[in-house]
Amino acid sequence: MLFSPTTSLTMIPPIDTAAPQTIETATFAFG
Amino acid sequence: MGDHSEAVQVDFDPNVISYRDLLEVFWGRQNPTKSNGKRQYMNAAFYHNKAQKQLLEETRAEIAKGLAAPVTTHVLPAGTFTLAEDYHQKFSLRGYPALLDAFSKIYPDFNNIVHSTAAARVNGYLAGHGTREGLQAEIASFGLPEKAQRKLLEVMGTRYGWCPAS
Repeated sequence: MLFSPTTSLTMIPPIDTAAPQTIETATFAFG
Repeated sequence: MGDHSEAVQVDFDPNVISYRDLLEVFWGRQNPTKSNGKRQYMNAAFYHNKAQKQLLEETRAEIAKGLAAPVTTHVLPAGTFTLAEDYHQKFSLRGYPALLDAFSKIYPDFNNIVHSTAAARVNGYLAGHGTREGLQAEIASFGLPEKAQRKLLEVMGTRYGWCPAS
């Protein structure tokens, strides 16, 4: 899921706007 | 909790880090022969596609070769992922209200903090992961005001003995 933030400010962290070209999801559980 | 299992879901760029690299962390941070039998707290990897399933089965077989007891870690298809309650989110960041407040000013809606890469990385550093050099290289990309950046570096210095770079 790509992050699409809603914020009242324009200072969205640069790292949050640097969406990768491709994205994959991984899910893990640690007992 | 019903039949839920506590899990972490990671969105990653395979051009930066591979699923196999993530699996090294996954297998390295558990005892794969020890399952407490409870669905809520079990070792498991949930695959999202055939390639992930294949890699999981391959690496599980590799791990099993070096073990006397059978591997009890589950390999299961990914189902619906439900976010945990807010108080479970960004647990280490929550321990530092000044830093959490700085993110709250950027993202008044806490749901955006949950999904923020910047907040996730700060949370990770506060939990003791990463390096001083890594933090200093990327701290500007977190969008934090200078005061909060200083606070983060100060906390890391106090808590983990990180000295300022010379």
